[in-house]
Amino acid sequence: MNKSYFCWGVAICLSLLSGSVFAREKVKIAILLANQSEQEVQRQWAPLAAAMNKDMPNYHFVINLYDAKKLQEIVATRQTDFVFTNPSNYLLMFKQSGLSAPLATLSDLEQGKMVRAYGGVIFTRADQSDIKNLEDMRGKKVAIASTEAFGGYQMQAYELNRIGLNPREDIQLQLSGQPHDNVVNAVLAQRADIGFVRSGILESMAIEGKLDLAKIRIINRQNLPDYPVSVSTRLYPDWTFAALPQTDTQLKDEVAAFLLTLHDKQALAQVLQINGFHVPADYTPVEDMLRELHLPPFDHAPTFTLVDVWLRYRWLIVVVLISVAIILLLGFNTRRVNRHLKERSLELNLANLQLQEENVERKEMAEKISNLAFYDPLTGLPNRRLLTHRLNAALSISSRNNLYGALLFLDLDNFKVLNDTLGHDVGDQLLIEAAKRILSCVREGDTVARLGGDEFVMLLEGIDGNIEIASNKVALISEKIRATLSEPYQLGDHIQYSTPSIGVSLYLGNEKSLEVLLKSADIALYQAKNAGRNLVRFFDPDMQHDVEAHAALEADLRQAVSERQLRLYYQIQVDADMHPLGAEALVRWLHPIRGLISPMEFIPVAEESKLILDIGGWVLESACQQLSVWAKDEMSSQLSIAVNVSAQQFRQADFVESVESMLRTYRLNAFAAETGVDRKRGAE
Amino acid sequence: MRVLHTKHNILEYMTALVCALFMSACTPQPQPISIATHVWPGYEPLSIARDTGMLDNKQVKLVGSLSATDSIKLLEEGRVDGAGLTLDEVIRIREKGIPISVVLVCDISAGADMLVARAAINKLQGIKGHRIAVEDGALGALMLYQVLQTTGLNSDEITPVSITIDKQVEAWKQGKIDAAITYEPASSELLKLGGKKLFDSRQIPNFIIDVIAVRTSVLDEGHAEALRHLVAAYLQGLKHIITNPDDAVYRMAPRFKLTPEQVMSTFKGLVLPNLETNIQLLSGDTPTVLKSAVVVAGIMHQAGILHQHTDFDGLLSAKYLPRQEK
Repeated sequence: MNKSYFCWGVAICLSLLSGSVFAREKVKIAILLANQSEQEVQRQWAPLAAAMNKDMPNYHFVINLYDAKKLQEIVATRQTDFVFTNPSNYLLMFKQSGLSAPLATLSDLEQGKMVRAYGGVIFTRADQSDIKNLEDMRGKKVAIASTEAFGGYQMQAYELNRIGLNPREDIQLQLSGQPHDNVVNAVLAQRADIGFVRSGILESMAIEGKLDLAKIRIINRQNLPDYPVSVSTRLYPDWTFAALPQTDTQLKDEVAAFLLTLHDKQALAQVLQINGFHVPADYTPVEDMLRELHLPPFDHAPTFTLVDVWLRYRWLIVVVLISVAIILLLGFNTRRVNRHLKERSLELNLANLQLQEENVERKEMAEKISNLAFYDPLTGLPNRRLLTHRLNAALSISSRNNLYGALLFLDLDNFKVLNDTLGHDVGDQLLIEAAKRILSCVREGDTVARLGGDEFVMLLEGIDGNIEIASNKVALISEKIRATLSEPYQLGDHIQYSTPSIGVSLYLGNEKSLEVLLKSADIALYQAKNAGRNLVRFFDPDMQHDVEAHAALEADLRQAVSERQLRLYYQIQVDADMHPLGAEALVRWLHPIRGLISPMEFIPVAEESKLILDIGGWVLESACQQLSVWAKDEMSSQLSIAVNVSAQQFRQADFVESVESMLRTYRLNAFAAETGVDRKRGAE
Repeated sequence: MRVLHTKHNILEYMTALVCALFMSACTPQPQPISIATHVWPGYEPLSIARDTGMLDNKQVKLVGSLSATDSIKLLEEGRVDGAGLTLDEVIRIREKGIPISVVLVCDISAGADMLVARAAINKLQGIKGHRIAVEDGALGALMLYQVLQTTGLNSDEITPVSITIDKQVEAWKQGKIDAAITYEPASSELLKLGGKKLFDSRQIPNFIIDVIAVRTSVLDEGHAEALRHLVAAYLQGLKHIITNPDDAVYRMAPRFKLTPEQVMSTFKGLVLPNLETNIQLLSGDTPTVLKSAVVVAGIMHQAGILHQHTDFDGLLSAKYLPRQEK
């Protein structure tokens, strides 16, 4: 409302002065509404139109005020003849709407002093101690009038941009709207930390009493002693007065001439509060700034063609392409090699798997072989071979540590009978159980071996350094084994009884050779068996002698049988009246060296060596022959002969037949022959 | 497996090579440089660049010196890496055994250096038998030599008065001299006092040249970035002075102790070469500046300023000039 009244006021005034207002050509001057209110702007510039009307009587100049957007629209649609605006707005319209080159650049007054340019001011409250320089502005609330304000935003934004702060992102913009006083008030009221205004605003407000300069502090103040007001940015040329292309050239000349000579019209300049106008300034810095900030008209990314890119980055592109090609090539090659390798790898894995399986099999086989070589398959105990190894080692160790060890020979009494009668399966079970029991009786490091059949050997190492203590300890262990193995055996459904005989031989170092040691233990076992079984016997040297004598006797006896060294004697048997009843056949051995040997001595040897069968046969036959001789003589025809037959001989399957055939051969009466089974051996 | 590893190594190697290609510009560690300048219009672009944040002081440190003599001293003492100097000063310093190289031409005197004589001496030949103020040093010698060359006078036909530039006006006023080989701001003063300009450097183009010269030892990879930045910032500052004089004058005025309106007049008689001109001056088969240097050195030998054979190897380096102006 105010505006329109004012306009009409000016129009009436002008018509009064000129007398014929309607004969004049109307010329419109569009002015940007920037840092001041509409009334202030209108009040400031109305005298200019008035003076121009007076100076150029053919024209009627009219001033219209527009905000930036509206002004652009007015210029684009050519609804005005002249434009007076700020540099950035001018450049925008220059580029977009074909506004002509400037006619003149404003020369302003600051604090009564002519200035050639203006700048932007960045300020905060004096007590805002955390904002010292531009960098401190990051994240702060900044009051601005508008982003289109050249001195009230764009200049400051450019300074921030130069130090790497993005004015759109790194600070919080708060639009307070025109005029710039709003910005100052927003900062003072603490609605914002920082304010952007064009240069001179703060000082003007101070003069008008609206602001106490002590309450604010300028950020990034430029050291320009000759510039009358504070600035925070570089300076830029002032507002520009430009014509539209369609504006009459003569009118443009006249207006330009008027403006450029305005500083001579002191009174008018004073009223307008300006120094005057200069020839147009170079607006390149403004253009550069807008370009750098990507502000209109440079807010669109420049369109580069591929050719531009190629021309500019030719070498870089070539290098990159070659590099990429090399990398791709190597990549493909690597992939190819990798694929190939993968296939090979798969094959290898398969082969490997096969090998592994084969290896496992081989290992198992080797283990089996090793087990077969060194272990008894039935009981899993070491066999003779391993025992020999261990024994050799044990003898060496013993010779080093001087500790007695012991070798135990064990066999199960009557095992053969049990095996034959109950079957091999039961026999095997018994052996397995016996092996377990033996193992339970010895220490972990001791060796229990099975030599075959029912023969077990125990090697007890490092028992003691003292022979008596060692003997006692071994006796205890042996006895424990004997007792444990004598416990009843549960074999399947049956309970079986079995006892062991154990022969023990102590050793120390290499006193005895391996063979001797084995033999000693064997002899001890033999003795144990001879002594009645289920016994433990220690080897002693006498025992050795006995065994050797026994062996020699057997050899001699064998020779004696073949060389007929045996003699048969008949001992007459009489009744109570001393009448001869018959004779008992008695075998005597006339040894070529030892002389007559008692049957008590050699019969057991003959029995063991089975020579008894030969001897027994010979005795029977000799007795039959004797009977047949006696039968021919009346005196002796009634006599009988008693022959001792061993149990072995008696157990011969053809014993009865052979006796009968002999009786027949010698035509003897069977009753004449009396046989007596040796009572002692009857049990066998 | 062995093959696989080898391939990987080659790939890694190639990748590293490619990376190195792109990164080679970044190595080795960039080092800053320091440059001494005294107040002279030709060096103003650097100060402007610093004042407006276009010069990164982490890369290039500007050291303000009082005069060219002061700059030479700083350079000789090893306190700066380079300085704003005239071409003849560069030649002289090199003769003293301090190898320095020109990386940028700041300005070419085209009338700024002149001979001003009392109005009574109305032509150049008239200086015969008169007292002529001339500064000690190459610049004065060069100007005087050229003046004598032009007039055909012998050196004993004039009376040279050794006097520094700041004392010229006073000596003129006291009648101690009849003419002076002078430059701004003294030249303006003398002209105001009724002096007449009989000769100026426009008649000897490309001989009085102000340059930025740095120790040849800093022309290495480590300082390359800083040197490129120095030259680029200078050119930006120059552009700022030309395109935004309204801002620049406010920044320069305090240094020259002039008003913003007056300060642009100091550039009178000076050609400020832009990038293209610098390329012409410093590069090519026989660069213009090299030709000038040969002539200048010859004059200096004749004037007895130089005594040894002058070596021009490595006098100029155009490799820090940017490809294109920002």
